[in-house]
Amino acid sequence: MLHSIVEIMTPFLLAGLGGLFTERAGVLNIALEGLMLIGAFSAAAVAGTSGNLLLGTVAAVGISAAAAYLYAAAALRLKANIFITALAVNLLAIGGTQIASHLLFETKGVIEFVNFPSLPSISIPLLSSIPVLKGFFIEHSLFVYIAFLLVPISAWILHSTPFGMYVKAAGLNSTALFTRGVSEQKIKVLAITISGITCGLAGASLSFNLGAYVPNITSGRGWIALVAIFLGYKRPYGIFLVALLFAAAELAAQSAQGIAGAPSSLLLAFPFFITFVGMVIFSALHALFLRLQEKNR
Amino acid sequence: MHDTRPASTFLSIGVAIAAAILVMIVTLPLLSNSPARTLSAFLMGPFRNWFYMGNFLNRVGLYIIAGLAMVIAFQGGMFNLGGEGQVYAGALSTTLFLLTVPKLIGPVGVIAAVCVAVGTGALIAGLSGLLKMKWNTDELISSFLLSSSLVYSIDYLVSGPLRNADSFLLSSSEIASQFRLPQLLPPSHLNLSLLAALLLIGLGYKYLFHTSSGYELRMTGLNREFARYGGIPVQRYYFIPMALSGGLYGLAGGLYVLGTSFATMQGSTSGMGWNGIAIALIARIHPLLLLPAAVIFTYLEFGAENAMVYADFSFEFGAVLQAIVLFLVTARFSGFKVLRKKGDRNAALDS
Repeated sequence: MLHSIVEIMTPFLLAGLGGLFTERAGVLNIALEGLMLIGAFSAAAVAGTSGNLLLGTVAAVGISAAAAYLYAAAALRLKANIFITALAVNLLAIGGTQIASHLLFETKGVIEFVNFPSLPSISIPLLSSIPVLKGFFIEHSLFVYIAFLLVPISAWILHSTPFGMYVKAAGLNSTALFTRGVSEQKIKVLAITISGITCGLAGASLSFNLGAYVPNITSGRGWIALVAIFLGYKRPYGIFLVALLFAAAELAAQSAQGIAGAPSSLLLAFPFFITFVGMVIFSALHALFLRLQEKNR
Repeated sequence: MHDTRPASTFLSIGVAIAAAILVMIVTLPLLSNSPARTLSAFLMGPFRNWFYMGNFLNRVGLYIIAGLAMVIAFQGGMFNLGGEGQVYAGALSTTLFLLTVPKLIGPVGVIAAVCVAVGTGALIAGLSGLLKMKWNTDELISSFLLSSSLVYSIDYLVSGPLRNADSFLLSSSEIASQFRLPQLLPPSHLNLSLLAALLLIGLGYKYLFHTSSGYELRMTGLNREFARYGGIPVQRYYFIPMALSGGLYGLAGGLYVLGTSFATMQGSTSGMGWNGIAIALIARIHPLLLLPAAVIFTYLEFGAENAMVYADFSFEFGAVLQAIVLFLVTARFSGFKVLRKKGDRNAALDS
């Protein structure tokens, strides 16, 4: 069971960790969903036609990062409203992948590739023999381990490198950046581009796991990742825990469907709903916490 | 957020619209085997005959209401991203209500149904506003999540438990004939809802600019801290703009059922939520500009759909069009000298 949960949580975790950088830089990044979709399509298209997973991954990361960069540049340089631009990215991802799918593969439905390479599964030698935790380290794709590794790495970048400090300063106090001679805009563009990179990885992991491309393959995962950032208290390890929780909930829903025979169309609504409920509970608790803190002062 | 510097603003909107048309003119023929025919279908869109014109105007009416929904939310400084679900829920609640009271007298049923539609939308969006007020839950995210779960749930209801078995469409049963709005240009779909939309423009303008609540809403949207300092009860203006916005979105869905579709069909109102945002931005979030904004946007969308008929395949060009318009309308092309003059602190929404 833990094994399946880990598989489900990986895209949340990847997109959430990238989104963390933009969130810390003071940009609410609602384009995660679109960037992930762009990544998923590019990964499937390139890996499916070339038969090379690495090439597919590189394409996903590259194209998704390029899209993120363009989005950031448009929003910050052309001073377009950043939410509206992000909305445009999401909509363009839906329409654009559909057009590309038609032009390249002459279908707007599921694209199956004859020679789609299968994703090799790897077990970590020592860790996979620990009784309770072995589900984390046994027979997963490389994407899972990359996502795991990115948790401490992004914590380290955020808290112990100059770049991390700049990112946090961009979100908290941009005058501090200005006095250090660092361009706030540049930091924000970089942060958004980072989210593009991890969303590309997240998208690639989705397509590779399926071995095909399905329209709307992301089905709200970018939004869930965005909420996971908040619920994880904007910290890498927090995001890890929340992603784990959301994945467990989704698995529970899937098995409930198997048992109770709930229709699959209703299943599409479930992740959004559970995320909404999670968000409400979190903000209620957070408000309560703040009030108590106020009282004790 | 209300813009009082018209000249260069209109110019930049004009540039954006022209750019959007240009993008369409370049891309549409590329997707087709007969570029000339596709292009003429795009440009001629609604003007080919009265049937097309009627359907075009009908859609303009619904989009005005969706646009007004976002104008009010934006004026109040709130981001309602849940339009899709609010419209859909408004449509479904109208249908369900009228299906449970098939014997009611026409006008009474219509008025009650409209109230149900508005109430449904207002409830859904108002919840996001309330959560923001109570616990500071981001309304942008919460309204989107709630709306998405509603869209999929309604999809399920319409294609499953509520499906009309006699229809080959994924659709609920149809409402009784006495509830259907008078048609103005049969056989096109144009009906009384266009007039309702025009009336709403006036009402929206009156509310925003000539009532004290509208004033407070706008002041809160401009600067919440300043409004609080001025003695405005800013807390309630988390809820009011959201509820009004959701109510209008719900109304758009309800009127769609009453005048156009007479039933809730799967995905039939899809896109209206996003279009509301695009249209409100083209209108520079001002109610009186909603009519031209809706006409322009609908013309583009209608034309694109027509062009698709002549292309060798069909797909939803809507999302691409929405994206192009959203982006172009808020981008400030600082490279263009004309637009960089003093009046260009425009962009409706700065954050």
